[in-house]
Amino acid sequence: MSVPALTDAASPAIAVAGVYVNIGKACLLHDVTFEVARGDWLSIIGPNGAGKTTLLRALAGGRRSEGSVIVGGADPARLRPRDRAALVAVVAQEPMLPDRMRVADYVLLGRTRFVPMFGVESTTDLDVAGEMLQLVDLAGMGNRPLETLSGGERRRVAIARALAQDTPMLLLDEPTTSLDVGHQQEVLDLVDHLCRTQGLTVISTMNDLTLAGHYSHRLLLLHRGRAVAEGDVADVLTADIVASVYGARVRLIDTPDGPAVVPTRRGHLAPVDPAEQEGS
Amino acid sequence: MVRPATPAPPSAAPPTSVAPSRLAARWVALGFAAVIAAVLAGLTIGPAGVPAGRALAEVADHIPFVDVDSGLSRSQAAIVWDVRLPRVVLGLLVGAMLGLAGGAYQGVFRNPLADPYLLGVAAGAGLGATLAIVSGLSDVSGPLDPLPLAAFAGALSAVALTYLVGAGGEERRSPATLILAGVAIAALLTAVQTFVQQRHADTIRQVYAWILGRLTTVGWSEVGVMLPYVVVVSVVVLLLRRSLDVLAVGDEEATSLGLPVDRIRTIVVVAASLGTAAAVATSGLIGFVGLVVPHTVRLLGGRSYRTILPMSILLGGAFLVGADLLARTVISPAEVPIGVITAFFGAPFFVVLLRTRRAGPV
Repeated sequence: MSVPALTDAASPAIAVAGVYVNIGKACLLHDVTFEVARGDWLSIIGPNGAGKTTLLRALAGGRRSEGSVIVGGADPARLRPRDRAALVAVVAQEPMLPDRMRVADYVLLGRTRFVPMFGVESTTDLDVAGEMLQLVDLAGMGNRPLETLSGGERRRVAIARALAQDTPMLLLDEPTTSLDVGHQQEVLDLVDHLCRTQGLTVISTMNDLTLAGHYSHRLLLLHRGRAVAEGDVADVLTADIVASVYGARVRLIDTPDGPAVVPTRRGHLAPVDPAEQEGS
Repeated sequence: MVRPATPAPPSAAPPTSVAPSRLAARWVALGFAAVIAAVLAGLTIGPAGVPAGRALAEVADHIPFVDVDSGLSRSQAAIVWDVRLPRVVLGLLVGAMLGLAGGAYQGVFRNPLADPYLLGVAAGAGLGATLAIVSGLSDVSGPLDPLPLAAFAGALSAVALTYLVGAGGEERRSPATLILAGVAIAALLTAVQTFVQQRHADTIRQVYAWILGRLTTVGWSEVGVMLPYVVVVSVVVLLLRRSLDVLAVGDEEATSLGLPVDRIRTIVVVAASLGTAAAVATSGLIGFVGLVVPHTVRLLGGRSYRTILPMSILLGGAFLVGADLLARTVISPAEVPIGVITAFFGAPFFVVLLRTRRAGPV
């Protein structure tokens, strides 16, 4: 039961240094180094297959890696499941929501680390699960079977389960994939609120660069297993970097929330400035 | 759905607790009603008619410090206490064990096809029993019948072999590896058994009679063998009922929630295999109970193992006592093997249930 307490405010919540993940001869992560400060929200971006989910798994301790991964002062891969579950909560890209399981029972699964192996939930566990359902705005839906929930509700119930785990860190794998724009905002607003009010450290992988830039505080760009850019949103999300890493034609438009990354059709690539367009 | 553009501040309202799924009282009542009905039928129905009230009085008379005059003749009293009751109790215990083991296997392997014989128990016990019969060991009379011992040893060896092959090695294996190893071991042992049996065709009837299962008892000795297994295995598996519910989200998510997945799977598999081996040793291979009873509970009462496990114990016991009643009455005075009855009545019942209820995955 030796979980280092997160008392030292100066040390980063997550410190990753020189991390490699190899499966057979395939190199999924190559010398990745970064840090995340407490209470920060870092989004891992990059093309499909860049290693985003692999990196998230390494942080969650579910993927063996070489190099140094320190989460909350410990190497998650060396911790017992119960101790690891006290540090990080994970929301999978497609969380397994068992058919016919009730919303309340699902959120209570998050309390597993507080329940003895041969026991059942305490009244505290029931109270916390209720609070978390309220927090994600699903209060009163405890008796609903999971399969009756909408896409946005499904993400929120998965987040409620992760919050019931009561950890200082939250890992989100593609929290907005397959949601419409309204539900995307709904989920990200919730995470933003939690990050601000509960001091959660959040790491998410994101495919939508605009949303990644608008919501998270820092970005880490992976390309073919390497970290090619890391830092503030404005430093990472530039037209040059996105074009070269994603092989995409994009335009960046400044908005009050940060840059909006807008794809452009073939043939409309060069002329960005209307005045220039007429000249060519 | 109202979208929270600015999420409501937390704990603005008083915190509301949630209620977890629990074993409903009506289910417990139904389970005990089924058990009592099966026991009464098992005690009273048979060639020698005994009224239910008198049979109960006779049973009560054997409780320490209770003195009831049942009004039964000596031979009737002997039929109730020494013949029918041990057989009924053995039926309850074996049925409970098979139902519980089936539910437990389905939970840890998240596989709806899992039954108590999944990891080679049946094939191992069959080989052990066959070897005992053809070697003439089972004809030896003594205080300990070698046939159940051989079956028990065969069953446990098969599961141990499956575990060694399927869960060994450095890398963590998926539960599917263990199931496939069980299939391979079962095929291997069945092949050996078939070969041995074919070389000793004279004992084939004896082997088959054993393989198809029966609940014959000699006084209370089989009950004495079975009881400790049922008690210990039930306690261990029931205490893990919440952990089995957590496993529903898969190994990776369950681990990230803090569950020691491998340890729990090992405990449940060892406990359920031990109990199944004891059941097979005392009453042969009785199919279908471990598959159908937990699924019936699941279809009627929901997906939580807090309901499935205890109800499988009660309904498994009641089902097997009922099946045994049929086995010994339909062509009386001869007996139909009980495994034939469980399949003959269990299969159609289950098909009807599947078609009328929405089937939920494990």
